[in-house]
Amino acid sequence: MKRILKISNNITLILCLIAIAGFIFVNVFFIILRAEIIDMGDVGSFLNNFSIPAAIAYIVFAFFHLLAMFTLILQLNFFKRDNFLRSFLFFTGIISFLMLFGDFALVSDISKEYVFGLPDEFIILFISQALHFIFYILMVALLILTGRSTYVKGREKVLKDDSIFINAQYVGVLSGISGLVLIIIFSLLYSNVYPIPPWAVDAGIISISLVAVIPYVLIVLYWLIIKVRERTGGWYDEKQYQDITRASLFTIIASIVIAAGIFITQFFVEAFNFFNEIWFPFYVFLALMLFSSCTLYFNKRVSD
Amino acid sequence: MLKGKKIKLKNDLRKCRFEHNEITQQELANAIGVTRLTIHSIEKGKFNPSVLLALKIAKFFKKPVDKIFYLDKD
Repeated sequence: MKRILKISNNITLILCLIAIAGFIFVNVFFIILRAEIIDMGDVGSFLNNFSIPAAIAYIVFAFFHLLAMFTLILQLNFFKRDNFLRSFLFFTGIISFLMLFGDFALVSDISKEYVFGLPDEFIILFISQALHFIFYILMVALLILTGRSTYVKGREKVLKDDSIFINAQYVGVLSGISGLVLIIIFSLLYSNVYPIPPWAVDAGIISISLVAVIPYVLIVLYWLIIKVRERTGGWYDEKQYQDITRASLFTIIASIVIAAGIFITQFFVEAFNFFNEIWFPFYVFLALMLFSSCTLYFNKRVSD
Repeated sequence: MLKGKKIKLKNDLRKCRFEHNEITQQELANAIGVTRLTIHSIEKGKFNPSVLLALKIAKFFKKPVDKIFYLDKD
């Protein structure tokens, strides 16, 4: 296990450095492409010359993301201690991986729409690039830090793992917050500021919700696999059960109070009407955020 | 007799671990099928174990339950 982790760490680190070089190339490509569109240059031949190297870079990114996920799961299994950075990277890694396909769709749209002026897709494309950048840089930091930790000898055997329980809550908080923020911004922007057809708003909200919730679904699936393999009986241990019971009680009370507050506010403030479109994903992400953060709070309170 | 008084469950779990070959929290957790954090929480007095868990701990240390867990009146 230790040997596999070391090999996986090293290969991921090398691939990560290659991916960063590819990332710089691809971003220079996007910046020049944007400048060519603004200057009304020969965009067609520029795309023909550089689209294949950019596509190759994206294949490298996809491989790196898959390997990084594999390494993160190996680390979760090996270290048996909760680590926010690892959970954050698990979350951003999956979102960043999904956004690789989004980038393809955006560049495809840009290559069709540039004749009508500078496409708005560039804004989303550069936000996506920022997310990739954060993932690559933090992944390098984690790989260097954990590369040292694997040399520590005499690790204790852990029969009932609690790190995966805590890591799942971290991912739940991140999924909940990002889901809430993104659907509210998207709905406000495209219902009021830049109105688009209602079906397009619905499609956008569904896509954003799925992207935000996928990391949580994946870590819960992984947690289920761990529990099946443990064979120690019981999904939770006694304290975890008490923590999630308290968190559930708090979640149901707080979510009803918040939902009631928004419902009443809608009668007086017209700007809050956009909640009619997003009430279901809003409630799901609110409940997820409250439940995960309360579970973390009750679980961690002991270390005071 | 105890009515109206604030009663807390205290324990000598940490002392028992040290008397029992200085076993770690993780080793005790593995032996009774809970997580290390649960043992840590019991020792800190932040979590009261169920009767079942208290009996399991007592059985592990081969001591009566009331030698490990006891009531403390403020």
